[in-house]
Amino acid sequence: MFRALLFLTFTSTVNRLRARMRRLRQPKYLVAALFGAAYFYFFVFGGMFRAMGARRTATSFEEFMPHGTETYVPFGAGILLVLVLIGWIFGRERAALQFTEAETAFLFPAPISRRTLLHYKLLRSQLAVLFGALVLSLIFRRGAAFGGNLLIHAVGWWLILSTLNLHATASSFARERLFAAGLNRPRRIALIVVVLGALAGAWWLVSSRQPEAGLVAGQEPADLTSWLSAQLQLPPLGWVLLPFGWLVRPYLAADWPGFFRVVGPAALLLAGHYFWVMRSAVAFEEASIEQAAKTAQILDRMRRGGLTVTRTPKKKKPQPFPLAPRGWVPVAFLWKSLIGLGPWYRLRTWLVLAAAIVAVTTWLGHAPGYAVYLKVIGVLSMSFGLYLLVLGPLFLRRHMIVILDQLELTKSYPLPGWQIIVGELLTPAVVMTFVEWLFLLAVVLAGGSLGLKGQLHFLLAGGFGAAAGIALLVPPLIALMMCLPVATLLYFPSWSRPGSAQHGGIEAIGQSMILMIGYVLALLLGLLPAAVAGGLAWFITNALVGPAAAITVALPVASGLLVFEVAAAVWGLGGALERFDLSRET
Amino acid sequence: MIEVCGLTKRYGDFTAVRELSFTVRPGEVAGLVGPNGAGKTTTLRCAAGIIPPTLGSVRVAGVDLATDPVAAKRHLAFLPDEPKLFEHLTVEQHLNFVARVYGVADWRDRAGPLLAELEMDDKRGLLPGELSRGMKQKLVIACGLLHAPKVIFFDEPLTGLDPGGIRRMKETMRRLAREGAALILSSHLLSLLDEVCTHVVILKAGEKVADGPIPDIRARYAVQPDASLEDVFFRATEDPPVLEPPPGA
Repeated sequence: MFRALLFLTFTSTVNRLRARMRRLRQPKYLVAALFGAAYFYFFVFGGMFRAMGARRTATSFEEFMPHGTETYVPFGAGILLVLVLIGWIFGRERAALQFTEAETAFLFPAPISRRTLLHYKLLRSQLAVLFGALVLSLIFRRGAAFGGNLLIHAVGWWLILSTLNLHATASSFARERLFAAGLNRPRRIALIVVVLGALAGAWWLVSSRQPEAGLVAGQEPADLTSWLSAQLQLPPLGWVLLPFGWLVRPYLAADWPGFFRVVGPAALLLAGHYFWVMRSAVAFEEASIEQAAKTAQILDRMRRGGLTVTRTPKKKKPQPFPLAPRGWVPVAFLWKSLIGLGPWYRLRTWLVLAAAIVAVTTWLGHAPGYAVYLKVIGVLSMSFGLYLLVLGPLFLRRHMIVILDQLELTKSYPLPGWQIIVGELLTPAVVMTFVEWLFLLAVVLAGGSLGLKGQLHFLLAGGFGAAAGIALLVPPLIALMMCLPVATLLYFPSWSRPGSAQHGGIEAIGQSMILMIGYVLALLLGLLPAAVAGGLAWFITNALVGPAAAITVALPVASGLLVFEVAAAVWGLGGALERFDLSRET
Repeated sequence: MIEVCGLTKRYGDFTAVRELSFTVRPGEVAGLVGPNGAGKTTTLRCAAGIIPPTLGSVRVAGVDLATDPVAAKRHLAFLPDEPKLFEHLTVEQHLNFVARVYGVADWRDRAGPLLAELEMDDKRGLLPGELSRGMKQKLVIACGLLHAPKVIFFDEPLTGLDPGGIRRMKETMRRLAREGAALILSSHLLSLLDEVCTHVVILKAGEKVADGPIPDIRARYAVQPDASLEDVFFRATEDPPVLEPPPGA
């Protein structure tokens, strides 16, 4: 029977790899894969390859690890302890193993023993563990700090990840048994808190009786490291961390002799966990089926472009305004999406926030001692505002995939394509505009009342007229930037589904990078006419009237041109939507 | 009325539907049948204006779908087999939204009887997440019928419905036909078509094999006069017998 399961694992893996390789015959995937590979080479693994090429000297090793690896063991052990505790505290009461829906459908009714299923699951998880160990070894630039070689680190990571994986399984079985014995989740958490409290108390008692390790002002950070390490090794915490330390030491070994000296306890710990899993196995089938369904649902949501893994709403949300049965249809899309966003995305919320910004900046402006906070508010608002402006539409790219998913429905509506585009863009554009206006308000009020005039000269020269001009510029600018992800979606739909099962791998990363570059180029190209027109208006008005009037005139001119561009873009996208052949993409 | 004329849909070298023509008049219920891959869903999607045909034309209530898609779509409703709903909108809000899209001013007056007929009157405030699969399907039907369309496409309409729901669904379809709507029904359930449809269009590998009133089709393909539509379907879509070459040929 196990052979059949091995066959399933092996064949699935080989077929997945084959599908990926076959896909590379298509130029769009090949180019994307090359981009992705270049990215990994230059930005992720490049340093590691270069580090492998050069032999690390004792001097550089000591430079990186002045205390020797043993000092760092308690820190690693502490991290593992926290990970394990998180599992025990937040873990479910029911023992559920991660199977796919297909696995639960085919394997659970099949004549396969629970033990075999467990072995199969452990074997499958080894694929992920091995891959994780390899990636972590590469990402952490093996040897950069600890000496040794890539293989030692990879084996070290494998020991850690495998043991943690087995512990997660065994502890889920243990939690199920405890639950059956009456220890539900609240009681379990209470028990853990009591144990941790007792442990911390005992550790504090021991620590307070120890002679001071000489933590005085101006001490070197290296000594602080030794002091912290020594503190972590004090009983009883040191005893608790002991097995975790066994697991960390092979990873920190500087060479093979050192590795073999410390690998024994770690291997025993791993073997112990394996026997724990096998001996304590409980009925995991029912909870596993439930979990498989949930996982499939989450994956489906992610494939469809959900920004976050959210649950299906179970509670009715209030509507933002009554929707009249007749009128401009894109408003219906806004109404629908605002219901989904919830009660916070309402005009009153924006007004309250604006009032709060006015109140806080006014108060800080009249309190000289707090002037620095005003400056912080101004600088942070400008930074966040610009960050959101540039990258906000990119973040929404995945969310835009919803447009494709609802296309079968929306294309059957009696609406021209441009109205569907406006409808879909309206909500993110409105929300982003309001957020940007709030940042702008904070920048103007904080900068104006503090003396950021040097930094904000371009803005403050025109006073509130310029601020109003920028406020006017924001909506069409955001709308134009939002059009770009939609254009990507309609012209390169297969590149816009990053979560799709057929769309993983290095080429997906490459595609994201190409899209990012395309986005920036298209944005610059789109902004050029408005910038030229606005610049001309500024020069002319500045020569005739002066700088204050120039900025007030230039911004609306640029804004007007952007509105024209947005209208053209929406019109074009509407046509593309009408021509879009859904059947080619689904 | 819907008139499909020379409809062809190609994907590269593959032709999903080839030169398909048929007409469904007001009061008629046409069943679109065929084996898997025959082109039923592609035909429905093209005829509903969801995907563009490669060649051919579709006229809905006298309006050409390619020339004036918005006006044509005002007269039609497409009810997919898989209910796709907005997860944050309640049952009533779905109807409100659809009312705005189709400009149905008296939607509240229409929604009442519609929800009552579909036994969803007490579900008005529920979200899709709180509805069963069958209820979701009913909500899609309610949304589709709210604007009193003249042409209605049903893609596997009975999927997910309980026996009571199936019976009411059939009655709804008959009522809609009596009221003058043209219905096109794609389904593998031949018994459903036998019960509800007045006409049938049989597709095979993207081509029309037969088209016409059910009695005519039955007379053409059935071996016995009381043959079921299932027998008719298999006779119409089976491959012609391969003739053995005579010995020595």
